[in-house]
Amino acid sequence: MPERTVPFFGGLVSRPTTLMEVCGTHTVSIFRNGIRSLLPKELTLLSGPGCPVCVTDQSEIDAALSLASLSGVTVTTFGDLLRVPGRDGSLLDARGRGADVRIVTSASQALETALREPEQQVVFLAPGFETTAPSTAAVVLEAAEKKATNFSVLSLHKLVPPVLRVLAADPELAVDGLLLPGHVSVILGEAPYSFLPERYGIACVIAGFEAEEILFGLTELLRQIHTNRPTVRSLYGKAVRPGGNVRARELMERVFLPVDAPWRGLGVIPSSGLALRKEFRPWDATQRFPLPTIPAQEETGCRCGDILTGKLTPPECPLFDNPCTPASPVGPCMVSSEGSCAAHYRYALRGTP
Amino acid sequence: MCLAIPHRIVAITDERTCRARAGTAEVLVRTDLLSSVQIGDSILVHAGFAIEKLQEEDGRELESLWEEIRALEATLSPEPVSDFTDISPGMSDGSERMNHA
Repeated sequence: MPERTVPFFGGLVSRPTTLMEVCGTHTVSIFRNGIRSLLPKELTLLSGPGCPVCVTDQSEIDAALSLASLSGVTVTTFGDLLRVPGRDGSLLDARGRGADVRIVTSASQALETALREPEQQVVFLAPGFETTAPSTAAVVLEAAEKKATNFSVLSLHKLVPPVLRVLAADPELAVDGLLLPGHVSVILGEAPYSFLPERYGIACVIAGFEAEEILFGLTELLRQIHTNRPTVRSLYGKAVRPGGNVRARELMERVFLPVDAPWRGLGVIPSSGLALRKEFRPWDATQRFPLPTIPAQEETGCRCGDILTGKLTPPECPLFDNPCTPASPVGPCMVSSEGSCAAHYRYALRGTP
Repeated sequence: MCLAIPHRIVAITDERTCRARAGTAEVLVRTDLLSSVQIGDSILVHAGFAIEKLQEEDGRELESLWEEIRALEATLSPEPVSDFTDISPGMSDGSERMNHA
């Protein structure tokens, strides 16, 4: 990385410009490194829907809670998901009531739990975007190979390009450029984003997560916008191949099928989720267990949907800081450390951008 | 949640697992998502799985993009001194806000 890392934003911003960082890891890095304090006032930087925990729908947590309430069932998942509130509390609350809910740091640990404890039905609650879905696919294939009859997956996986299509088509949200998620792009490569510049004229940059990589990414977005030549450009070449990780995508496509999926605050988005294919039904928790049909959303007053699409900033939500805080979150954007509400609360609550 | 950490492979354990090191920590990592790995490879690890092999960045391409950006900036700001006058009011605004907060 060249040494000139703090760019001269001022000259490149000739009109009010709105950029969005899609990924929660970018959101946190931008706050932590004080990048917002470098931005000229004509430049607005919004946080997008790129935190898988934040976009997990309440109905999905309710399904997980209903699994956790079954006798003989162990629910395993990543730690972030435990505190996301469903209609009747969170998985952490369920654990407090005696449910067997365990944290894993990898899908493979969930299968190991099942192989070690054959008398338990072990369900892996699988959140995550394209970065994470291939590893779930690899574990489903391993479960099939090892004929693990006490292991199943509740897929909450979601896909990034379909939600970006929804954002791009939203007339209320005029985004000029997107800082694309670096690790989703490791799997996808550049092509799945090409509709953004071609159809919607949106500048796109794939960037890494260090401060200078983000600054470079923002500068390149402003260059594309200034010269009126939007494209998809990767500045994260050490990890992102132009064609992505083909093998990871093949595993994902072998195990999963795109389906319509509910996103917290955004509603159902066509072909934006992943369900297990028919041949993997024995490992599909929705086939193995009776699950509740999706109930009506409880009205909490939480404005997650507007925050995830950048229409409101977190402090503009009426619940922000009172009563919704990281210690007592009402919505998932405050639960995940990479949620935009949690990032605002931690780094910007006292008025310093 | 899509956090991924660079590791270096120190041993191949079996056809889908390796041992890899990041700093002083050594962990087992699944390699199912990569077509081939060998000892010494630098890998990007997410949730226990290697999602890609890291390669040396092509510095020349990034350098040429910087040149392009600087050339563009030069056409926009003929007087370099004005850079500072443009930037510093923003900074003092920021510090005033901090003081008032």
